[in-house]
Amino acid sequence: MLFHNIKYTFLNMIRTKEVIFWSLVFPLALATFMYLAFGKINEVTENLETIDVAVVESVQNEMFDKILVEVSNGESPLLNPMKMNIQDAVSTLDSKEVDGIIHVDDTISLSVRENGLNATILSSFVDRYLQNEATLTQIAKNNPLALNSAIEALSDDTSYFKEEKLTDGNTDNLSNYFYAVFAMSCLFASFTGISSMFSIQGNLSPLGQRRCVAPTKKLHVVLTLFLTNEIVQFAIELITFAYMSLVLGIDLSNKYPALFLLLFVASSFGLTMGMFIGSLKKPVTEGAKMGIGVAISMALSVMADLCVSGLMNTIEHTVPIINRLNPAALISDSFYALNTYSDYSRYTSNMVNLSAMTLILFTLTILTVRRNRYASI
Amino acid sequence: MQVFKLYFKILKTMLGQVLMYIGIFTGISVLLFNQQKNNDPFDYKEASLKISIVDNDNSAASQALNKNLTASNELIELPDYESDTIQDELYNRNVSNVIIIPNGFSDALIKNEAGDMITVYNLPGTMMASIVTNNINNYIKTLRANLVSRQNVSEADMKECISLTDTALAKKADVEITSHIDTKLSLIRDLYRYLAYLFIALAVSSVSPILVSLYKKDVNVRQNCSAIKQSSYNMQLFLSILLTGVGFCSVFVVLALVLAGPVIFSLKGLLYILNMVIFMTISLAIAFLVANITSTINVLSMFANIIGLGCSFLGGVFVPIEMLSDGVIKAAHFLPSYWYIAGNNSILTMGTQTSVTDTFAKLGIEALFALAIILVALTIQKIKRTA
Repeated sequence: MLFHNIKYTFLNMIRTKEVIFWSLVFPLALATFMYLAFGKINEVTENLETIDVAVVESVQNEMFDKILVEVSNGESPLLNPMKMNIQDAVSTLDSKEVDGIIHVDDTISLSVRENGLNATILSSFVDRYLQNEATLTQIAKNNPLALNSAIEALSDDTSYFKEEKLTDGNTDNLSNYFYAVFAMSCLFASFTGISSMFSIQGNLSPLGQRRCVAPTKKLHVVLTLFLTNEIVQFAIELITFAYMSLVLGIDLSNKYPALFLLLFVASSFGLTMGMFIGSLKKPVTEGAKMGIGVAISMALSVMADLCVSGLMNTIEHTVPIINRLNPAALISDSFYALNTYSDYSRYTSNMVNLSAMTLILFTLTILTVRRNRYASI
Repeated sequence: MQVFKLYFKILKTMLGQVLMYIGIFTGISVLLFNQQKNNDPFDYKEASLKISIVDNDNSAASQALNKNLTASNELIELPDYESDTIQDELYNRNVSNVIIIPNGFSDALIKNEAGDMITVYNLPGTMMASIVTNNINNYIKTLRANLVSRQNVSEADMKECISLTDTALAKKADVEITSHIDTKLSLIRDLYRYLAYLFIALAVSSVSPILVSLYKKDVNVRQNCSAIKQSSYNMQLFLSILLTGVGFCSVFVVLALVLAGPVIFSLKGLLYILNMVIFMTISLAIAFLVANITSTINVLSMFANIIGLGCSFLGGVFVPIEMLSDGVIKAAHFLPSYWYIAGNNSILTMGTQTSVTDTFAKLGIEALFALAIILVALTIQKIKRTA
């Protein structure tokens, strides 16, 4: 009987274009668009790359030349200086071939197109030269005997800091968008939940009327519906995961058992949420119930960084309880926890919250639909 | 006038949805506008990074370093300095560098044994990490250069060396900003950028359902046997769609006028409006095409989302063109939204970095997109009717 139910639920689902589109096609398309659009953002806005810079020399400055050679050599040099005349320099700056022009005159100055991190790195480089020059001039004037030691101190290779990173996991914060796509996809399982509840309620569909007179307990009916829909929905999430992980190559961690459990619990929550909405006495039309499903799923997903990265973080710093109660935030945070931390405490806490919410909604659904009596249909 | 009246009667039923789209867009625009209008693009400003410092030494040297780093950066207090908290704050970019100055730093500095003493938690390999760590090294090296000549450094010596270091580090290079772009025109460009998504979503969710209703077989057959000529029917429908487009565009001209002032009626401002009108034509053409492809209203939201989001993510609307990868940019040449964004960028820099011909070429390509989409839609309509 269960197999029979699974078969027909599956057939029913794949023949409902809207459900397949929103549960499977839309998340895949959205992830693809995001992947293509975000591919180079951090490379441009965060990663330290060699900066192309034009150098216009009005006077010869051997010391500065020497420093330019130093910073332009090595495995990953800071600058790629290109000596040229002022006209060419201005034109290459305008056409974005270089990020700035260093003017070597009686003093060193800089032209940049606009404010930004590259401009700050260039100005820091020129500042440092001028500051070292000022330091040495000052020492030469006040204490000439110390000049050599001062030059040594300024030019030695000692580094006074050590950089440490706290994780070997994924630190790309744009991953939040992909985590949120999963959250949205799991919450979109609610559409299936809403549709399925129409088939068991006498006041909503003729099929519901027939099933209401059958001598089957509502708990069994709802449980069978849940199980059959969950199998299909979980399969959809696995397809989405395989596509994002294997085809797009997005780093979603390799803790597969924990990830699959997360997808199972998350899609169960989405489905149960839909079943609960479907069981509510009002509204009575499928369109209106779907509208509620879409609005709740989208609002929760947007709060979990689907559209604007950083919203979930703002909520965490202002009203953190919302993130503990928002299922989309719990799903997204579980992905983050698995992808960043080596221990499972945060993931486990999220999973407990999500499972508890699923259980509560499931119980409420059963309580709402059991023993319904209709005076007139 | 029956068709004209009917069109707007159906449109009225979707007014809530239309107003919701426009309302959300206007709200976000006002927020972005207020955020950006105080930025002065002509003055050079060092990038201010979010840093957090834990000074366990609390000496004159560590305080001086602390003061130097926070002068140009924003100091952030973390709720605690547990590794999980630091990791979360770094991941969310709430802080770019967490600097821990250990106890005994000052003494080690005097003895020249302070190498690798300061711990910096950051995202290695990023520009934010490089800027701050270079500043740390630069400050300490300059302080060391002032300290090296002194034997038995006293408190007064340290203070004097710090003062000399601060004086030397106060020297900054003259930095000139070369891009003299009109701020208000730049703001209008940013404001109009998102119209590429909004117009497609608006057109497909408001105009397409009306056309789908009118193209239903029964309605069509009823219309064919009515007294209204086909040419009159088509003309009324065309004018209704045109008026819808003009209405939508007017809202955003008024919005630009309210937010940026009369600069919208300058030559470049008028070119923005022209570009917007051309893109509205493209959006209406897409709505016309979609209405001819499907006869189910429920399917329209799928089209609206896929076309709208696809064109926006890949065409430089949500992510600026210069941040897209080369492959995506090549593919984006086949999307009208790419040319709309490129057109607006060209208008902004017209006369300096781009020529008038270049700008009009981009607008022309957009117009060709509109024409091509209309022709495809008409062909599909003809095939369907003949069948």
